[in-house]
Formats: sequence, structure tokens, C-alpha cells
Amino acid sequence: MEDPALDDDPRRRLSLRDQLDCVPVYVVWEITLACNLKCIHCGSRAGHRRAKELTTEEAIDVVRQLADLGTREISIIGGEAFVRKDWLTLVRAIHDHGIDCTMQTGGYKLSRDMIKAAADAGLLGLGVSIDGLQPLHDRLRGVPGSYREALRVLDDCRQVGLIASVNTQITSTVMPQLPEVMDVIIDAGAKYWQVQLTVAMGNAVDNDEILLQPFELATLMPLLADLHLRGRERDLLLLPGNNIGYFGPYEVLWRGPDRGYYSGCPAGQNAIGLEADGTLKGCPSLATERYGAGDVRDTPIAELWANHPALQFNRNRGTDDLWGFCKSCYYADACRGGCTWTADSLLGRRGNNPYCHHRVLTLAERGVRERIAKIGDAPALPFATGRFSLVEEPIPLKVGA
Amino acid sequence: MSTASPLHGQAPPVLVLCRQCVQYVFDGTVICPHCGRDARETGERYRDEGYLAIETMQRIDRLRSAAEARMSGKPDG
Repeated sequence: MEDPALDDDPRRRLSLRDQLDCVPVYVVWEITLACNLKCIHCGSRAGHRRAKELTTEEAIDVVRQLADLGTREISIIGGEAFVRKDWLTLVRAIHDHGIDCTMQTGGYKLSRDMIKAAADAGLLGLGVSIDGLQPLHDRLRGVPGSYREALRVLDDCRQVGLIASVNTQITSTVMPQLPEVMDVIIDAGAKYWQVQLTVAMGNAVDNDEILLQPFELATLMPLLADLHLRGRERDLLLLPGNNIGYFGPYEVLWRGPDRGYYSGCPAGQNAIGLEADGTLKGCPSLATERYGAGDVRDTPIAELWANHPALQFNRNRGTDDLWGFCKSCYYADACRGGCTWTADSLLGRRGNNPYCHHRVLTLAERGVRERIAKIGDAPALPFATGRFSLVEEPIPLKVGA
Repeated sequence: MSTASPLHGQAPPVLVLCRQCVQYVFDGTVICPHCGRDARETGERYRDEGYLAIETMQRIDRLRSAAEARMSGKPDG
């Protein structure tokens, strides 16, 4: 799940009571699947709106139900959320129900007037996607000029006084650009930078050359640690997305100790995902066919949340679902395979996640590493997954070593 | 579908920092699985970089959160 974090506000922190009572504190809501970008890594294959997206009245009723359940933050996403005509009405409804509202956007054609209107309606913060320097960003986002627009939106947020964060997808080619991306977004006024590994889902399966190999975490994580420290000196907080981890030597740097530590996937325990047609999931990014829990038009959200089996899998914190390396990992009880979306999308089953720094380092001590190889395409549907094999191989000797 | 089933989740286990290598270990760990040293014995980095104070505050937060949960009639998980 793309974590909508804008800061480490105590209101966002999970209390023990939240965890025991399974309060759906965070909701990420795809309010439309319509989109004005053509991202080649898009897991939901966004572009056209869904056939039966919720009406304004139905959407406001969803907000009311979530408020009753104790939701404290809703992040609206798409597709591109602002393409939906009533998006400001929904922002205001969320705000009026006492729920913090944030939005994630590609920023393309999001004008300063629209940003101002959203802030006036109660939007607390805007997360803007920047996936590399201009050529890479525009290639990944599928629209020339989208990089320039994203930077313009950051500047507009600064002018309007709206908190802006940047989200960056970590793909196979972005690593060398990250230091310069950091310079650019600091200059543009960003205060928070969330990074997230691109996941093998939807369009990213079609374009699997953009996926980072698991063993590349050995290079990525020290780089992120360095950027985190350098960012702090310049008033930029680099935050790890839910699939950046876990428990390696840098965990204390970006998750703790003042923010805690990674405590497992919150999907279905303290997080809800909603698709634009009313399909409820534990996380917005999970494969609909395996994790869809029904339509909020047919059944009250409280009833689905309490009872539907597709939402229950994280609540007892068992380790029965773990397999492979994760099954016998020292951190199994705490981590439980990390991000469900990442592992399940890649290998068709949750509980074994090769995108883990602790795992990469442990395997390296044995002289081996893991890489993925695509063996099956993903259907042409939103949140569709393909098939990948996990290959363990000796770490190649460096030339000259 | 019935609404009778109770909503009850479990809390994650408590982790603390090894006071030698500053990597996470389970609360109560004596020998750190990462560095092989005594995880309870305060090392220079743990002391000098402020981790002792921060973990003390975290412990207070956990106690407060547990008390809040008990007052609401919920077990500690």
C-alpha cells in the first residue's frame, strides 16, 4: 500500500487500542479509475473510469460509515482523483466528518486554482509523484511534460500554503538519479519524500524490465540511508513506504526509534482500501480477485469489516501463512513477510517476500542472492498479477576481486 | 452474513534496540543475534546518539497505551 504519510503526526500513530479493536484508522480510496497519465508501472491499469463508480451520494455515505468506524485519515487516489467531477465535494465531506483528507496525484493539469479550492475544502496535504529526472519520469508516466507539471504543482502548493510531499517509485533505473531528484524536490519546496518499490502488478508486469531485482536492495538501502541523513540536514524527511524494509541496519534510521519499527502489514487490521466501484479490500493495491471483500452498496462497511474472510488475514498475527525464507526468519513474528501486496503480487501468495534488506544481507553471508524472472503475463484487468519465479544464485565475483 | 463476530486483533511483539549494534531484537534478548554481544549492555553509539532517551520514551508510550487498553476493558493482546 502506498502510505499516505505526510508527517509523523500523533493522530496517525496506531495505539494499542487501535490494534486490538481493529480500528480502520487509514483508508486509501480510489475515487475513480479515470486517469490523464499512462504510467507503465501502474498496478491498477488506470485510464478509463470503472463501469459502476460510486455516485456522489453513495460516496458521501461511505465517508459517514468510515467516520462511524473510527477512521482518522482518508487518502484519495485514482486513477487521478481530481478527474472525478465531484472530488472537491468528497474532500469537503471527509473534512466535515472530522477525518484528515490527503490526496495522491500525478499533478498533470492540476491547476493552482484547483489546489487552492482543495485546500479551502479541507485537503490537508498533497502527495505528488516524481519518479526520476525528466526523461525517466516522462517515460514512466507515459506523457511528455508530466515531470514539469509535477514540479509546477509542488511550487503551487508552496504558493497556496498546502503541505506537499513527493512519492517516488523505485524502479530499476532510478537509483543513480535519486540524489539529484532529492535536490530538485527540495528546491521545489517538498518537506516529505516517500519512496516505494515498484510492485509486479498490472502494467509493471507487462514492463517487467523496470522492476528492481531483490538483490539490488544491497545497493539501494545504503543509498536511501545516506539520502535520509542528507535530507534531514536540509529539512526534507525521507520516509519509507510499506514495502521498504525490513529490520536491516537502517531500520532505526527511518522508522525508529521515535516512530517505532516495522510491525507488519496493516491491511485489514488498521487499513482499508476502496475501489471506485465500491469494492472493499484490506489495502487498495491488493489483487481484487483474491482480496476483494464485496461491494459497499450491498453490505454495510461495518459488517464487511467485521466478518468478511478477505479482511481477516492479518488480525491474529499468526505465522502460518509464511513460507520460504520468511518462514524461518528471526523477525517472522514481528514482520510476517512485510508488505502483503509486494509478496502476493510477485509470487501469487503472501508470506514470502524477497524484497527485504535483512534477507538480502543474510543470504549474502551465505554467498547467494535472489532474482526474479517473469514466467507468466498479467491479464488486462485492474490489479491483475502475473507469475514470477524466484531464482537463488551465487553472488557473481567482482571483476578484479 | 452475521455481524456477531467480534473485532479483535493482536498486538505486535515488542522489539527494542540492541544497545551494542543498534539493530532491533525482541524484548528480553540477552545475546544479540546480529552482533553476538550482550544486547542489554549500553554501547557508545546507543548512549551517545540519544537512543537511550528515545527508547525510554517509547517504553513510557507503550505503558500508557497498555493502560488505556486495559481501561477500555481490552486485554493487552
